Amino acid sequence: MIRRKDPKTKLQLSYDPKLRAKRVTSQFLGGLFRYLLLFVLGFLILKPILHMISQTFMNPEELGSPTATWIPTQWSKEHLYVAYEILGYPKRFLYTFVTVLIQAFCQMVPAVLAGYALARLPFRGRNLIFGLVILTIVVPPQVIALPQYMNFRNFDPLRIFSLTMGQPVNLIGSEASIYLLSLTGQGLKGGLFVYIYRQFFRTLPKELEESAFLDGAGFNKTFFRIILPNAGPASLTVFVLSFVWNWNDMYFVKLFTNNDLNLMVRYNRAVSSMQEAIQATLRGSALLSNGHFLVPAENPFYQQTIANTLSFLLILPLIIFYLIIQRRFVQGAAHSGVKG
Amino acid sequence: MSLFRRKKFNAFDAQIARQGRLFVLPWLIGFLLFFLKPIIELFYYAFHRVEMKVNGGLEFTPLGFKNFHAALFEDTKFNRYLSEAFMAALPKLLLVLIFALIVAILLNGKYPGRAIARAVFFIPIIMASKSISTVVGGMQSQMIQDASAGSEGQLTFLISFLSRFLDAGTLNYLLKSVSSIFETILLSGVQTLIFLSGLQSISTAHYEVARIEGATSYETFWRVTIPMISPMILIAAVYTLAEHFMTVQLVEYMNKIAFSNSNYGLSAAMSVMYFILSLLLISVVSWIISRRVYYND
Repeated sequence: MIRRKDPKTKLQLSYDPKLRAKRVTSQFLGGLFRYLLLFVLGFLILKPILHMISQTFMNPEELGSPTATWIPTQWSKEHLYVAYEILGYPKRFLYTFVTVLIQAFCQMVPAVLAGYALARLPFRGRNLIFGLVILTIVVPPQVIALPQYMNFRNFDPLRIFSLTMGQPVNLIGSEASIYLLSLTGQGLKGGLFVYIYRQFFRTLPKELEESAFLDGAGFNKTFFRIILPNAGPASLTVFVLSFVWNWNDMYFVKLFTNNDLNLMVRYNRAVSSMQEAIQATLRGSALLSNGHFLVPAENPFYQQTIANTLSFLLILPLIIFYLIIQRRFVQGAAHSGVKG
Repeated sequence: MSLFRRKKFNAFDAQIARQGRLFVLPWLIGFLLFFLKPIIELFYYAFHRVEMKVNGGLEFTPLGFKNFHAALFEDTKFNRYLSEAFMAALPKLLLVLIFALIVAILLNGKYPGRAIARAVFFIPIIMASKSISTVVGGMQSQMIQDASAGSEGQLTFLISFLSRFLDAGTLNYLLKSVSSIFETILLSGVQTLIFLSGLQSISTAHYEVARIEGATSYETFWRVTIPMISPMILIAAVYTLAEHFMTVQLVEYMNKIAFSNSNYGLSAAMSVMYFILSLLLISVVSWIISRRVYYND
């Protein structure tokens, strides 16, 4: 038995060397177990992505051969080329990128305003409004897809368009419908973004606003000069989540715009009829005519590989985006992102 | 609650309230126009035969409960999809919550390499998309096929080893739950985030007290960690269920009936039932959890 003071608590503690040895061993084993678990789970997460990459660059002749399931012995860019052509990449990438970016910014506006009001500006009925926000998170948007579609098919809030233009406006097929939903907080997971901002603003020190008010700044000045610049981490979380989810979203684009310029729409159409997509894309292209390689468009293995490559191209921008933004996003989201 | 806790500033409070209402306004307009209105219309559709006219307008013929009757007793798939959606909800909820909690605890500790671990474990949030799950689904089914056929698969060795001790049924169940880990990982990104920020808001003082009092790490987990993050468990549970009800096969089926078969009334009746039932389940689950939630503040 050795008696000594605990350096942190200044309490007299007794240490038994045997017990201590036991604790060190159990700590070591715990650490080992943690790394093992991290490694296995991390591998499971990365596996689909690694699988996609390896499939993308695999030589068509090696498909299905057991020796080359993971690392291609011969790297090839042919799948990538075919998939790139099917997606019509530069044009569709640009369109998708711009629309998704606009959507992400549109979604941030009502979320930050409502989130701030719900956290910091008490008014009567505030709890009710917060309950309604939770309700919008809970109700699947697909449930109201049909009346929502009809609303935008004959868009006529307060009969404004009937009165001014004689008939309702058809917003189906136009990006305006999704922008409008985003701008009023009803876009993809809009409720969750309000929630994230609210939780974040609740943790901001009140002294920030108090000192601003005492210095004579009005509400708007306080909000734009003090609150918004301090909401960086939450804004980053919301922006990244909104961008990524909108990029991956099928539901809203399919229901409202269904524009072939959208990568996701194009991807879905291609995957649902893979053979036709491959043939139509490569008909008359150099790949078939000069006999550089024969495209086995009817081979299901080949179709699966092209589908893989299409997915890879679809999320490649997200992977790059994530690699750039990763450090700040992880910190921001972990420290102040989604709190209860 | 006011910024300045003095009666003097009543006029100021009113100003704050006005500002608050102004800030909520854009969201509230959206809620009324694009959430409440469609829901009310949905209920209206459900009790009518709905036909689209050439100019895009709608024509309604009252039907009473006929649409509901058709959905429940005449449609061949609705009942099956509906029960599938609800049977799968609770097991999935449990799996996702436990998994997300484990991952969050793993990511919260301090150890070398944590930054890399966090970067990797946040990927599911980015990747949770249909395209990825298609690929994962393909890999998964291939794995199971390989396994059951005993052909040249990645897991052949392990499986032939296990099959000496287990019968085919158990083995199959094990394989299925292992392969559903992929799905669970993809589903639990946001929940992991919620738990992680919850874990980080627990003051270290609690753990110090527990250590001084001689609590084992098992006791510390159940007596300190779990109560402190119980509000997050509630939120994560609600989110998981909401997410689940968005992705089941039934919603696709209902949309197909509306948009491919143009049977708007029937689809609306199905949606109404689904809406009410899912809301009911979420309320019951959150009520059960909220009775055990411990609020520190």
